[in-house]
Amino acid sequence: MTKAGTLILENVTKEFKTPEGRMVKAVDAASLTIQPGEFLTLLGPSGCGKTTTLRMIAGFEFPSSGRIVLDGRDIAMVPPDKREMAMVFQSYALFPHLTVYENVAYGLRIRRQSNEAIRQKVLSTLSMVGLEGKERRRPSELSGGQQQRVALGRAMAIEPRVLLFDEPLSNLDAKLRVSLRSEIRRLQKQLGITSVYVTHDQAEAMALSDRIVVMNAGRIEQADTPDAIYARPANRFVADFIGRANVLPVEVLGVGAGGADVRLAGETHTGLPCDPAVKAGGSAHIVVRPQAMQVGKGGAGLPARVRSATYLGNMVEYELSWGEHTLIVEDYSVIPGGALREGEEARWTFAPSRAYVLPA
Amino acid sequence: MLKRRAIDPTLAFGLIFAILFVAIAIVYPLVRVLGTAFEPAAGPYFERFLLRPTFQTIIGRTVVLGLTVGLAGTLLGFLWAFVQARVAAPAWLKRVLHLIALVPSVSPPFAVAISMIVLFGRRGMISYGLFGIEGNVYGLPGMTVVMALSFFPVVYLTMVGLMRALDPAMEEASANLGGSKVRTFLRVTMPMLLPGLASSFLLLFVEAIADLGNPLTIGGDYVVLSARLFIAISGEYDLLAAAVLAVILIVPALGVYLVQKYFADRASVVSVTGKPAGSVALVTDWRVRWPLLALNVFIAAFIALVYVTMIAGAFTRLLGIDNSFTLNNFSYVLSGLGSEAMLDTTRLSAYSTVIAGFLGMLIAFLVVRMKFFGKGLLDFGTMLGIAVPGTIFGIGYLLAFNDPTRVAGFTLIPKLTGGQALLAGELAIIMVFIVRSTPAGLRAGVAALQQIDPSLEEASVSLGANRAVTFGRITLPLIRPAFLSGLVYAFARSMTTISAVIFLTTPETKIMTQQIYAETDAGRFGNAFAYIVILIGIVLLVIALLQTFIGLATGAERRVKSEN
Repeated sequence: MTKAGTLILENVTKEFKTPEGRMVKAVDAASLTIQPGEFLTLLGPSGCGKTTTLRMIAGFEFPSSGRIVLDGRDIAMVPPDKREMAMVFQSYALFPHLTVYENVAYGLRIRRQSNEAIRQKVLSTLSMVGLEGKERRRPSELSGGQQQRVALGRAMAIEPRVLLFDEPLSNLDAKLRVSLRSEIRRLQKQLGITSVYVTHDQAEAMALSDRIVVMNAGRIEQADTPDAIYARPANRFVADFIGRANVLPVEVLGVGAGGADVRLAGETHTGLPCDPAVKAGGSAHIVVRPQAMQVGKGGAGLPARVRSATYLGNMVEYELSWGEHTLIVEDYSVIPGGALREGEEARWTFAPSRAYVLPA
Repeated sequence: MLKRRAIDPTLAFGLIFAILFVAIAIVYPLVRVLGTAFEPAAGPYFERFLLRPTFQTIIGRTVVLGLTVGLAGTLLGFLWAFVQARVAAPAWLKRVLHLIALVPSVSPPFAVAISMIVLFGRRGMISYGLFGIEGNVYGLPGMTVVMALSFFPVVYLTMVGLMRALDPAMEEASANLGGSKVRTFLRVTMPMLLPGLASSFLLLFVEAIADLGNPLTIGGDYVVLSARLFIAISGEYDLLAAAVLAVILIVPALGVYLVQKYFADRASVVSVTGKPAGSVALVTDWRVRWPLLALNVFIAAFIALVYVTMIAGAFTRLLGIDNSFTLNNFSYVLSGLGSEAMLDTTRLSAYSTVIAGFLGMLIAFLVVRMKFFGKGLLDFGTMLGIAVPGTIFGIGYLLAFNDPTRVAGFTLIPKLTGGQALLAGELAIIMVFIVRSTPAGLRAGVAALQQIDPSLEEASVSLGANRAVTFGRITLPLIRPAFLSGLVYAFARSMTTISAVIFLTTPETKIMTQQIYAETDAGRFGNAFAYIVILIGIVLLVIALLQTFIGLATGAERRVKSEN
């Protein structure tokens, strides 16, 4: 069966020359170790270098410097057809002149397998991706979701050491995206193929990944499990990019085993989880997710003005003006008729155990 | 450093082949022309050709011919396109008009000229036979009519494509804002078509000044540069004079070609307006519709008459003088002395069609998909094959290949032209055929490749196929329509061209177009017409065969750009 690969990136850098002749680093000294069978997602805004990184792993681009090591062999300069990887593309990239069967068989024919072996493999692959009976169709006769299943099957059929995904779901509608992503996850786990997945959709990354690599401006900002990335972002960029976050300046009073004690606008909060680099006696930032905020008409907390209140069914989303800051609050305790109105005075606070302290 | 990169050996071989071909078959002969023209001994020739009134007249006439043909051909093409795309008419009528417009593209360009002489010449069937006038078709008016009729199909096809690609929403917007139909046409539609018209005009200008067959057959006293150049070689055998004339001809031809490319690129921008929302409102107003239809039908009937004359002429002793039926002309061409030219031409055209077809797609692939130094030069070098008038290639080949090329006592290129040439001169003829027909395939290939999402090829490579296998299994099938049109063009072009090849025929290797010219020159119109009819027959037959074996619609081209 599939031999899952260990993929290591060592200081991989890719420089491009802009039309004006300037050198730009699309990927800047990226280092990663991807374990056999791991599902790793490269996540970031457009232009962050995630696609370039994927294309260097695939062999469509070659790094300016650094090593890409697959199972102990440096493949940085190996042409893409010699890498034993397979890619699933955003545009599906199905061969329009070939049937579904021949699309899936393509990689096997290149490997000169016998017709019988190809037939068995293609049929079992098609049944795995839920496309039995569609062998003779042309790609153009399938729906978008079915086309991407064919592309998935085509990539898996050759039993690659590494499966690569370049935003494969972004051309599908929202519902299909959700169902197909759980299917990708299920198949990947079942086959145990090492997978590298590129997306700009953080929900997709959270749902699929063993580990998420957040990239920005060519650099890796953080590589960790989805919950660690969400609960303990390495810096303000990650905090902002993954989910939504209120980032507020605080003064660190002390750091202990139970967490950090901070002062925010004269109020003291204790026992906040905190980044190891945070030191007592300096300024820092806290990251508070909108759902960890509490807001009310009166009671404890700091005063703010309601800028907008949006009723979203399961919650009310508030924007509060607090000094120069705009705070986002998700209030799930929707009291019919009791919600705050725009322009009203409100008081807000947060749950310290659900906040996170970052160095300034 | 990490710069070492594994290059596909097959692809590297293809690249080297393409570069060598462009260098040897296109660039080297042109360099020889330039080199000869700028020898010190050529100085007096420049003085003679540029300063003497006789020669200034020739240059002036060449430019005038370019302008008249450009204007007449563009108008003709526009009329045809407008009727097809915008005028209400029965479908069968449009179909007939469309087919008639395509006929000139598969016949030798000067076939029309020969028909015109028979119909309207001194003893013309219509001019003298019907009206008793000694007609004079020789000269500028005759050439203009003949060239406009021969060259307008390309304008028609371009313009009809542009008109159909225009988003009707823009015209609807104009009408919606209160613009009348006339105003909408003049202020909205025409400005969008203008780059296409400009490009068509310039293209015809270049074709007209580059053409040799028509000036030789119907030019009469109106001597233009290409005809003068032919005289310099075949009459005076003065290669130095010919090279100087070639340089004088190359300047406007290449210059106008480059300007034309600029307009053509702009014209294509117009067509990218997204999916047309509605359908175009066809002209139904009889005041516009009837004159346009009548004019179009009249000219179509005229073209039909010209071609019917060729067929009739092929079956008669001497059309207009002795109208008795005969099969002698055909037996001369098919089994008599003339059969050699027919067989040679078909065989050589077939070889070059295959090579030119693949070469065009290969260079298109290299240019669109690969990154290498000198890519633009390879593209430009290939395009020189059509941008430079054929006569200049004729001279270039004589200069470059009439003697073996030796480097340090080692024969690099053997003698390719003239007596005792390698393979009786066939290789040179094949080369020139390929040179002249590859550019069309290249452009078609580039256009097709740009429509194909590169991720299709990346998908193939990521599944383990190398670049060459990917090209054969994925790319080529997807650009099959372009490949087919490249092959069709290459065959039609090779069979019908005369300008370059007329200098390269040897006693052992004869070419049909040259025979047609010789028979016409000798007044044996019957033989000439039989040649023309058979030539058109062969071209149509081969096109039909190509379409059967390579196929027109594969179903793939509809979704070539895999769903986005």
